[in-house]
Amino acid sequence: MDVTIFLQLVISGLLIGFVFSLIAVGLTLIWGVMDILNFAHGDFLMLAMFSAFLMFANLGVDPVFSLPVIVGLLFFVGLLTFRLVIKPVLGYHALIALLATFGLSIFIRNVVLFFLGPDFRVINQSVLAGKRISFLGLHLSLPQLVSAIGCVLITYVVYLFISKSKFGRALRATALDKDTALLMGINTNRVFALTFGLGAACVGAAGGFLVNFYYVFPEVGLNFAILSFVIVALGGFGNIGGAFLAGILVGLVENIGGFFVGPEFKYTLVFILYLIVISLRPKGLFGW
Amino acid sequence: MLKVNDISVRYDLISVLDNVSFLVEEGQFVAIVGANSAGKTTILKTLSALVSAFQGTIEFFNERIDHLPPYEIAAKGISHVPEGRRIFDKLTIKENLLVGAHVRDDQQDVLETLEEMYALFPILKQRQTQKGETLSGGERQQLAIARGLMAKPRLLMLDEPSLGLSPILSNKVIHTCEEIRRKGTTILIVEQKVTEVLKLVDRGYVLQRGQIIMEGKGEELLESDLIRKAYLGL
Repeated sequence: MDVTIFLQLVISGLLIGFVFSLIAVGLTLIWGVMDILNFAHGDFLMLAMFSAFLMFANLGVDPVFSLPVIVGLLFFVGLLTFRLVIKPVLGYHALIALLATFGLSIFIRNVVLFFLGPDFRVINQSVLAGKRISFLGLHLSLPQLVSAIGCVLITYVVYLFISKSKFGRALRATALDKDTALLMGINTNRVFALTFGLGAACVGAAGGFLVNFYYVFPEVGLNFAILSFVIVALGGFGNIGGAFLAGILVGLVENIGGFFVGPEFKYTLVFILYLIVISLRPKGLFGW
Repeated sequence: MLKVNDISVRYDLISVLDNVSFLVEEGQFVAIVGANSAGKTTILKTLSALVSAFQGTIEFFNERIDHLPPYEIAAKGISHVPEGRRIFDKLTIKENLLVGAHVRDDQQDVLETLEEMYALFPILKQRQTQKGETLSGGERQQLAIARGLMAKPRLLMLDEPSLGLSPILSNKVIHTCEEIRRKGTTILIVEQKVTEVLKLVDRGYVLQRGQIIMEGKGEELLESDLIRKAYLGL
């Protein structure tokens, strides 16, 4: 087999893997702190992509420049979700919060479907669109390259924020033992709200990048959400570093495996990997 | 500084505390002693608002605090070292200590307090980069107390700090409390090790089945017939 093709597959896998990682980091943060699996995570991604698309279509703002606005918007969506959907059911069985996010997911998707229709849309005149870098026979799509670099940087900033800042310490303490965190003077409901906001902002950033090279439609989040559940479980629930590495792994398996076995089986391969890892290590590759 | 008036607590319909009242003056070392399940832990949990009383009031420096959430009570200067230490296992020793100072904004002063804690408990300095889960029982208790002190509390509440420790270690811990008091922190301790604690405290309360049945100076209580019979077997 040609080495160039293999390298091309690895690079493509890495580029999409970094985006998967950031989506999964948002999900794993919320899980790690609150033990809630946010089923609306994919719909947050879709909201981010649609917001970027609408800003481009109606106001002419390039997705590269609308990114900070999208991140802020999704942070707010996260806060609002916590306040209106999660907080009222905190303290009850965890299944209730999970089902509430499931309901929210259906709600968001159908509202978007109602107002914007089921059509696939694409941004093809942005600053990055259609550009590529070629060297040594390898081709890198510029939108994907910029997105991957952006996602890695944001993941790293989130990691630093969680591991080094005062808020990050409070967040980790709350995740480990909520009652004791309260005794330390930590307003745990505020930590929960900000965690939800931060998790949504992560997926918002990923959506803001993704819109540069991916179609936008109301169900776009579904596949990404399912993949990010797999990534979170592979990486170990609540483990940011684990989600980052597992995201890359899934990107590589999807691309390289898809090439050898056939693109229609690329998700099958990801799920086979998931089943193997979970049966050998139920806590994931990097779980506690 | 702390005035507890007639608090009563029920878990479901079972009465756990029944009209409990007591006082802690500034600078004092006060103990609440009693057997297992007398309600000692519940008293501290009620003061921290982890449990709510259905009757009674709690005043701290003449201000009602019984309606506040736990994190605001901590911010008022009440530090609660809970039963079983409750160390954050996956955080390092240093991070555990810094979480203890969450209510403080003066980062420079926090680092000074950190050094003070390292001086008081040298083992914590040696192990500062290790995870909490790697500590032994005695070390965990030292960390829990140091973490409580990191907030520079006006009142330090300790829930059975000697529990699960060897007699030598538990004596050491209780004497450390005395040292902390000498440095100016008011302490409210609940303990089963009646003799060791009552020897050291300014004031003691005896709790039995959710009621305070006796109070007085530590030494006086030790000499009382009730304590001698019920707790010392004399």
